[in-house]
Amino acid sequence: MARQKRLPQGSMGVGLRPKFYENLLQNHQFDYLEIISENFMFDQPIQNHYLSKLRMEYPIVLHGVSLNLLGSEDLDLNYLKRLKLLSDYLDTPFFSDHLCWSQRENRFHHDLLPTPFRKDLIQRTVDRAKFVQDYVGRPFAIENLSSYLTFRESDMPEWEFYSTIIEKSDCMYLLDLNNIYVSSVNHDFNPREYIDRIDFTRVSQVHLAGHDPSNPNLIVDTHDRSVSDSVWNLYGYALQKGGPFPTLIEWDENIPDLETVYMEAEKAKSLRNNIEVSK
Amino acid sequence: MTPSVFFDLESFQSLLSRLIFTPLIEKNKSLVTDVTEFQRILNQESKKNHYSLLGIETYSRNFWYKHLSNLQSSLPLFANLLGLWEFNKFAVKHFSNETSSFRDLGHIPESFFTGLKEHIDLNFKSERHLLLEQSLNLDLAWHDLFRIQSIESERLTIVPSEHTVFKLKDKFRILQDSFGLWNLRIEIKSILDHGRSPHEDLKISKKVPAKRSPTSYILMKSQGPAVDWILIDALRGDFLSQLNGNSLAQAVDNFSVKLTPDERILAEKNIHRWVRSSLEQNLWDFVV
Repeated sequence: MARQKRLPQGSMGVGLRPKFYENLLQNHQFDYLEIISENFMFDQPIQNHYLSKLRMEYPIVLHGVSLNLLGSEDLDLNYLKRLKLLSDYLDTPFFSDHLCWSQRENRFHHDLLPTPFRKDLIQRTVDRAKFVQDYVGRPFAIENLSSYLTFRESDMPEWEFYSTIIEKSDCMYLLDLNNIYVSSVNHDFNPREYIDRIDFTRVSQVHLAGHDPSNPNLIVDTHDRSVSDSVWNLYGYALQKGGPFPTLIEWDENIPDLETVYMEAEKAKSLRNNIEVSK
Repeated sequence: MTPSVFFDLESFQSLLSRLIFTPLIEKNKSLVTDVTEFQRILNQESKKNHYSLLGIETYSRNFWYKHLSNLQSSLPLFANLLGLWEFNKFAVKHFSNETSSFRDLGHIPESFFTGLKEHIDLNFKSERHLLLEQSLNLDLAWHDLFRIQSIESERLTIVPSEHTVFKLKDKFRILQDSFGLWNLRIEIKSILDHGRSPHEDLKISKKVPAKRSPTSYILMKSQGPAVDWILIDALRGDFLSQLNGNSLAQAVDNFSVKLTPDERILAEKNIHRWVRSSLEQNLWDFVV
């Protein structure tokens, strides 16, 4: 694996959003920050101004949304070049993206799209993940998706596809528990069974977020509200199986004040402490 | 789960991409996903009942929501003055015939801007036409100004390409020649401050721009958001004046000297705050 460097186990992070810039500079309630890589890789002077200050105060990890790891087209070397530049600038402990595809023939979907889970897609994905990790020169964490479609072409369950790619490529998991829960409801599987298959020594961090359960036939990963009780239960289960691990609260729509997000982090800490005592 | 003998990733992604990009249709004064078209495409590809229509609908709706939101926030002044509903309808129609989408404003195909220009030429007259045309130019010019950003160690540098600077210069010329930035800005700010509908007829004053130095504008920042536009005006006007008679590189250097990094950041912060609040006031027209 690329240079090994991790966040402290049990640390609590927050997804950096413009609304939090000033507050995060003044108050140090969180242990680390996660930025959306693309928001800082291109032409964003304001964001980069704050980043130059925040990087002096916090460890910062990168979280990308347009690597296109499962895309059928070649990886974008210009994108990777910028990603490496940003990773080096922040001396990030690791960087991450998703087990998905997001563009095709010059069309950006602004989304994280699934593919079937198939044996014959594994080696190609492993090769691409290895290439990305080597190119950037830092540990690469891959996040599981929430999804709204299943495919007849799949020949294995998601967790097997995901775990095999992580192990073979010598990358890390970025385990999103809300995503596991959302997909488990939409596709009718047991989320605990998914977690049982995870090698927690390879977990870089865990993501928690809210979802919209209003349509019981298809719940949607919205990141616009508090973490649901079901996802907290799953978090407790994951802590028992392999905790503690760095945990990050994601909030992308209807973003509240930082204090509200911090309350969610406090809840995660409290759960972690309870489980450590009971172990 | 039965393994298939062959899986063509490229064809799979082309089909799903095509489904997701299916244009929205107008129904009961809303833009909604076109489920009939999903079914038609799937039947055509011999994939009837192959994928959940609800799942495809979710991805398609997400795509259009983000696509239109990106366009709106990339052209905030123009989109709000035209009216978000009309803007969305135009964008959906335009991108129904366009084979690419984009990552950000820097990647929006030029044909979109040309199409918008033709749209306002065709549908609006006199002062309203002028206001829309110039708001489009202003939105584009603002992005051009801060387009190319690079991190060099710990310093922030803004390095417009020669092409970008020429485009910027042209746009400012159009603005200044035809109308004058000052009056336009006053008018736009008045519309936003007083919550007037962008569809109302607009009166545009013919005042002569006051001459103020950039420093005086920046000192006015303590008066709050009301001076945001003036501040931006100063930035843009100053940049333009630096282009006269100077080499491009020299002009950029001179411009950088005029504002301290903090002043520049403040200006950028102000415009973004303004954009955000104006967008929040105009709730999204796209109801599903």
